[in-house]
Amino acid sequence: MLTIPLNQIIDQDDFYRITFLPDLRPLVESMKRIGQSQPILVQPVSGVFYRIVSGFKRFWAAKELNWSDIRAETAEVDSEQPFSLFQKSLFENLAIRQLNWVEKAFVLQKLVQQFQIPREKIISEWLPILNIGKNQKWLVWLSKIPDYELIVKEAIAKDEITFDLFEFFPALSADDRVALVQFYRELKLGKNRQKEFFYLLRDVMQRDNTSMTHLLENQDVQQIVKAEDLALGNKVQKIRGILRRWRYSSMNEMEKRFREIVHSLRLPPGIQLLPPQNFEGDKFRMTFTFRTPEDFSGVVAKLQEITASGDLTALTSLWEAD
Amino acid sequence: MPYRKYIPEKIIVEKRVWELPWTQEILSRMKGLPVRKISTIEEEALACQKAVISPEESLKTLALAQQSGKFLKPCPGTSNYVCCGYYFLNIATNCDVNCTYCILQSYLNIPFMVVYTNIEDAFRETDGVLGAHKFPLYRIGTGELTDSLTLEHITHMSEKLIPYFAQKKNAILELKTKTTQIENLLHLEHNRKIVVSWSLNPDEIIRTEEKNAPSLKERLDAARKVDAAGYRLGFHFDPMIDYPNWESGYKDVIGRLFAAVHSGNIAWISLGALRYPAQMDRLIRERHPESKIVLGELLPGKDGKLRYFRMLRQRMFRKMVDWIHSHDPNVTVYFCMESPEVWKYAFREQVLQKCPLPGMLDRSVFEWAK
Repeated sequence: MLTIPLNQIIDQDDFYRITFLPDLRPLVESMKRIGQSQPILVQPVSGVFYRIVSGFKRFWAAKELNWSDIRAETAEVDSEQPFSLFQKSLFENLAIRQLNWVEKAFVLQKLVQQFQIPREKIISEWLPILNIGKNQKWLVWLSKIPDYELIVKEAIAKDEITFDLFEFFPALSADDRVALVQFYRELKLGKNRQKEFFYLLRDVMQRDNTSMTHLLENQDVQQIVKAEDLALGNKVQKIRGILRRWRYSSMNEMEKRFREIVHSLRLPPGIQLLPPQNFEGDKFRMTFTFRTPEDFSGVVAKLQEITASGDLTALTSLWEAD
Repeated sequence: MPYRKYIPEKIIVEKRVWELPWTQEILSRMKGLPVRKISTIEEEALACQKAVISPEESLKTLALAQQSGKFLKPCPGTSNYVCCGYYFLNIATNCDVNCTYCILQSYLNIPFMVVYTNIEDAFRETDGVLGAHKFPLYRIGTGELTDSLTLEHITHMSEKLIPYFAQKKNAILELKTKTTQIENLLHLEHNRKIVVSWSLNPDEIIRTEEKNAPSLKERLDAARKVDAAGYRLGFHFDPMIDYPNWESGYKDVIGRLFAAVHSGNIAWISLGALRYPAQMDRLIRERHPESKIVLGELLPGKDGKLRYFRMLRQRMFRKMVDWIHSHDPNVTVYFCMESPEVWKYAFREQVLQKCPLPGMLDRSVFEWAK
C-alpha cells in the first residue's frame, strides 16, 4: 500500500476509465467524514507517475476535497496484463452499480479498439455481461457513443434519450445530434414521443434533402418552444401538429377540410362527427351523449335539422377534393 | 446497369428430387457449378440463419426441391379491398431482381432461389382443380413468389407450362415478369391461352428501385416480340410510386407502351399503388438506404398495410385510367387490392356494380365469356 501525491496521478489518462458523469456528492461526503475506506488501484508509468486502474471516483472526490495525496495499491504491469486489470476494474464496478449507456459504450469501445477482442466474442460473452442482447447491431450502435458530443453523451448517460434512437444517431451529423438533444430536453419529451418526433423529422429531412438542425430552427417551431404562455403539453401537441403537417401534407389538408365541414354544421358540444380512419373507406361515424330524454330529443332535433338543411352533402364532396 | 441474367454460384438439390427428369435437365444446363445433395431446403435455410448469411448471399444458391405443399393456391387478397379471384401456381420462389419494394423480402422463410422440380405433381394438382369446375374459369399466374421468367434460361419452365395450359379450356396462364427472357416462348404453341405480362415503371423508378431489372425500353422490346408471336399481353403498373415527376413519367410509359404493342392484344392493365406490411418499412430502410419510397405519404389502410394516402391514389389512378383509355377505351384496366371507393373515383362511376372484378377479367381473356 502506498500514499501517492495526487499530482503524480495522470489526470487525463482514461486507458482504464469507464466511469462517465458520476454523482460524486455521496462519496465526497463520505470521504470528508470517515476518510478513504478503500485504496485505489494504480499502475506505475514513466517513473514517478501513475495511471488509475480503478478508483476514478475516489480520485476525483479527493481532488474536490483538496487532499494532497491518496492511498493506493499498485498493479505491476509485468505481472498483470492490461486486459486483466481492465476486467478487475470493470467487474468491481459491475458488482456495486449499474453502468449507464455511455459507460457500457466505453467498455465496448475499449474491448474493440484497445484490447482487440474479436467481435464474435464480444457479442456472445460481453454484451450479456453488460445486460445487452446478443446482437451485433448493438455493438455497432453503442461503439459510436464515446465519440459523440458531450451534451449528447450527457443526455444518454442520464437516460434522457430513449435507447430506441441509438441506432439512428451514427447517421446524424454532430450538429443534428446536438440540436435534437437540446430540442428534446427543452420539451422534456417522453420516450414514445421522442421516437414519434424523430421518425417524422428524419423522414422530412431525407425527403427534402435538408438537415434536422434546419428543421428544428424553423420559425414556427421555435416560437412554440420559446412561448412562455404555453404549458409544456400544449407545446408538444402544437409541434407534433407541425411535424405531421410537414410529413403528411395531403392528409393534413384533408383533415383541415373535414374540420371546416364539421364546423359549418354547427354541431352542439355533445355530438361528435368523425371521418373514416386515415380517410380510408366511406363511412363517417357520429357519436353523441345525453343525460335525459329531453337531452336526447334535442340531439335528434338537431340531427333532423342538419339532414333537412342538406349541409351533410358537403361530406360526400370531400372525396372529390382534387 | 445492363440487365444480367441470374447465374447461381452453387446448386443444392434435395435427395428426393435428384432423379426427377426436370432436376437432371436443369443440372445438365448448369455444368461446372458445384452441386450438393441435401436433405431438405428447410434444414439448409436454418443453417444459413444460424450462420447469419445475408439474403443477398443466400440468393446465389439455386435450390432444386420438392413442393410438399400445394402448388396451386387462391390469392389471399387483403381484407376490405377488392380482389380479382386469381390463382397462384408456385413452381419457383424468390427473386434475384431485388426491387426495393418487394414483398418477398419479408415473406419467404427459404432464402435461396428455389425451383420445385416435381412439376408433374403440379400438373396433376392443377388437373384436379380445373376438373372440379368450382369456378367456370381460372386465371392462374406463376409470378406471385418469383418473377415468372427470371430463371427461364436455367429451367426452360415455359416449355413445360405453355403446352400444358394451351390445351386447357377453362384456364389462362399468366407469366408475369420484368425480364426479357422470352426467346423460349416465341416458338411455342400457346393457343392464345397464355398472357405474358410485364411490370412497368418509369425509367427514373427503374433506375432507383428496380436496379437489377431491364430498362423500360428492353421490357417493351420484349413485349413487342411476344405480341408478334400472337400471345395475349398484360401490363402491371404495380407498384406505382409517387415521386415528384410521376405524372410525366407514367404518362410517357403509357405512350411508349401503346406505341410498342397492338392494344387489341392487351388482356389487361393493372394498377396498384405502393403498399406493404408495416413491418417491411424497417426492412426497406435497412436493406435499401438509398431508396426514397418509404418517404412517401404512406398511412395504414383498412388492412393495416401502409399505403399512399387515399387522395393521392385516387388522383394517380384517375389520371392513369384516362391516359390508357385515351389510347384505347376498350382496354381492360383494373386495380389490384383497392377499395371500392377508389374504384368509383378513378373510373368516375362504380364499374364494379356493372360487373364484379373477376368477371371483368374473365371477359377480357375468355372469348366465350364475352
